[in-house]
Amino acid sequence: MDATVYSKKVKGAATHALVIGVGSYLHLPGGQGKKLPNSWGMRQLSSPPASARAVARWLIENYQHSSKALATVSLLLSDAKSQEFSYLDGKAEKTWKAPLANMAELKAAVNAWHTRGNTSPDNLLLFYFCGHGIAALPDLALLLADFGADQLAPLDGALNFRLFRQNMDECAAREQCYFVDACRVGSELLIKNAGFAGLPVIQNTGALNVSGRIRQMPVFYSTMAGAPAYGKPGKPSLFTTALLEGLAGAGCEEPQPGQWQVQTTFLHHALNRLMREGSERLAVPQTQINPADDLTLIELNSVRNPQVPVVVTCSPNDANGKATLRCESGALKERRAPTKGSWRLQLPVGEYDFAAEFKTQLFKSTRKKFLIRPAFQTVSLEVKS
Amino acid sequence: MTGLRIRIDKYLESDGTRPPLVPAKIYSIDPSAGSSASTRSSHHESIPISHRPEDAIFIKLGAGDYYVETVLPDGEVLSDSFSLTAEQTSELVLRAERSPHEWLSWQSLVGNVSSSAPPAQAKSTRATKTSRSGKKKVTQSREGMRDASRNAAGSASETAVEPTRHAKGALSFEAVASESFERPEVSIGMPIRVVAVKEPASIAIEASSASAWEWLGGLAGDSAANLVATLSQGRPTLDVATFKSDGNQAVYRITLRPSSSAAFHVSSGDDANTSRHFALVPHLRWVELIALPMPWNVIRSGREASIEIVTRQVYEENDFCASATARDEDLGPLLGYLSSGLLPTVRDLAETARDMLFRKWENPYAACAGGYALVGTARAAEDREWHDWIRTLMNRFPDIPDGAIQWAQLRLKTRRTQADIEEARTALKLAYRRGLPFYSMGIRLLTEGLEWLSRDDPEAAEMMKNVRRVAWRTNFQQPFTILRIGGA
Repeated sequence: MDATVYSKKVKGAATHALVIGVGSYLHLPGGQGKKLPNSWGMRQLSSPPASARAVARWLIENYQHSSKALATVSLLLSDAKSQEFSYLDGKAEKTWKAPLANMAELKAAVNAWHTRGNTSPDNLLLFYFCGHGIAALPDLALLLADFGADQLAPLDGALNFRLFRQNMDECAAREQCYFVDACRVGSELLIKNAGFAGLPVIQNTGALNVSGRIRQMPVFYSTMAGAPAYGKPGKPSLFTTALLEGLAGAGCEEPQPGQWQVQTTFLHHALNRLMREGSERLAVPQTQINPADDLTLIELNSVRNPQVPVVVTCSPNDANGKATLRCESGALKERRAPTKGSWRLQLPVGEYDFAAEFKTQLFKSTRKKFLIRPAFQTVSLEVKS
Repeated sequence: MTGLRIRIDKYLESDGTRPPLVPAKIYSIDPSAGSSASTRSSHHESIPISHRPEDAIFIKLGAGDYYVETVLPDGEVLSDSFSLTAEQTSELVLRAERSPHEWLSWQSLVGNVSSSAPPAQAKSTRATKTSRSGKKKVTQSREGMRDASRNAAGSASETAVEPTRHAKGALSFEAVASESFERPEVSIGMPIRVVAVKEPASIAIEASSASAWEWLGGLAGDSAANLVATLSQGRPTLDVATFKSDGNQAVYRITLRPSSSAAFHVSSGDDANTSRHFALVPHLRWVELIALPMPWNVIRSGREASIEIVTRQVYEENDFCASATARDEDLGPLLGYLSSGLLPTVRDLAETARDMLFRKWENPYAACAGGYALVGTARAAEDREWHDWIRTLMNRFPDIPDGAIQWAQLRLKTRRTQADIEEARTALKLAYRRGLPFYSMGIRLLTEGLEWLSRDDPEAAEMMKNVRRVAWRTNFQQPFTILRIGGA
């Protein structure tokens, strides 16, 4: 089954994306298939399909690149409720049925993605995975829907991510960006199998590099080694939400005045800030910190009007519950009634007047101008009592 | 004169030297852009990290509006805007997160410990996790998340969506949490041991024909004391006392030679037969082994910087407790950027010191860090001047396996001819025989390189198996090589 959910003819270099979200695991507890005797604590997930849909949809509806327009998006899902995927094409909504994210479909999708990337060294490839992951570093197995289908060889339903990424060096595309939104909890299964972490799907043939260029291949992980990744049931995960905020503006640099572009190095800073802030705000059991490997500079999408995540708070924090918070610039006028906790906004780049106004005598109103630019801004209004 | 005096306010314990510098970008805001705050130009500066106002540096700028931004080695992003009027000097202080203790200031700078939250409630740092078994009830603020793609141009988007509530009325998160044993695994404040070895490859027991990789990967033991005894067997060892401790964390400072700083020096005077040192940090049932890059020479002053090790309490069986950094005001920040994965920043820092690093070889360990960044950020598959630096690192410093690993990586990445592959093969096997690299990145790249060759090279395949067994025991969150020896 063709996993392509979006296709557009692009002259010259292009961006090709492969997006995978695995939530329904057939052979883990709660799945439809024969249960694995040992599930290593893993169970069904609902955040990954929502996360993958959000990424695919965002790319189709928003991704703009100055020299490598989005040409294709392939999507694989494993969702207990539905395999449908919808996005806006102009004003019309288009709906597709995404193939199941099992090994057979993954092979076909990777093959097509590799073939597209292989047409030019100038192509940009994007890879996104959300689902279960198990690790014995540096090896990482990304589990597909049919993980455990063969109870004697459960890892035949897993992608050996390290080898897969390594062997993608034989694809002509010299810019490849990988996003892995999965736990990397340590696994005895990989150690007991002497580091076998699934199938690489792409094999090493020893081909020479004839492009004259060295591949750039940064990978962004949603979590540190040995740590879990968090997602709210049925919603995009913490990392995916941060990633989309990063692509929408938080990860932007301004290489030329007035021209905003998401760059991988800046995206890394943005994800760091957003993940820490998100972990605190959502009170996850453990702050999620996102490392990166082989982080080199790749220019991703350009953004006409970057949206910057902003947190507005009074200092001291106690004053938030008494303050009407305002944010104004030109025609934009936003306010929040007195509420405990900080106020989270997304604002276009620019200069804003922020104010904390009080009816109580406990604190004095205050006002201050702040310049809002990527990646993330904390506006702290010092209020005096 | 019009300009700005600027510094980053963060306390760093001084070893009597200059404050470290970190890269920053200063944007000139276009006055005609109005509230959109578009920039006109930008340029790079290096700004000092110091709690002392007199350490601020002066940057000459014209009158106008500006925005400055910097990323610290621990990943903290600092930014602010400022205005300059003609013939006036303005002051700007960027305030960074504070270290929990003054004696942890260097560890805080490079991201090995978190900010000034009390240790018992501190958020996760790079080296440890504080997971709990099962789910935890959490309360949710009113601020959720809205799909970022829905924002119209020019409008603010307020996130005020109520989060989905779990059936039982409390929010839950999907995550696979491993079991916690909920007991302390480390005796904080106990001495650590430093072992000196004759040759790096002979960290194995001399009577054994096993390589260091085979030996370390297979070493098991039921107690830290037995493992320490095994690793120390027949070798000069020293117990290094705590420099400072608060019961949850402890710091140790080590130099090779006697120095003016209050560090423990390990040289016995008879260094002719010693080429490497390792620190052994005992847990209840296993030991962390740290490859010590000594002597770590500060390139501009020539003094030896101490290697600072911090140990923290952990409650899970397989958590690492130790982190290490070099108290080097010139290149210490580079280690934080390296463990953050910011290779372009590491490369830029190394290139500013290229003469001292790659021509005079004042500090080959720091040169290694720069080498990883140079190889990691290379774009053109053609010979460049800096390739010679990597080759020299491999040929001139046989006690440092990292150079050979980097040379092999470079050849595999360029891979223009079969000769490149054969050079990589030779270098990888050389690196293997030289023993443990000083940097954890070296273990990952050695694994990958040997694996690349292993499809038609049985010797490389065998080497890869041995390296992989050590890789499983490696803390890849730390820049220097730290292994877990023994235990599960």
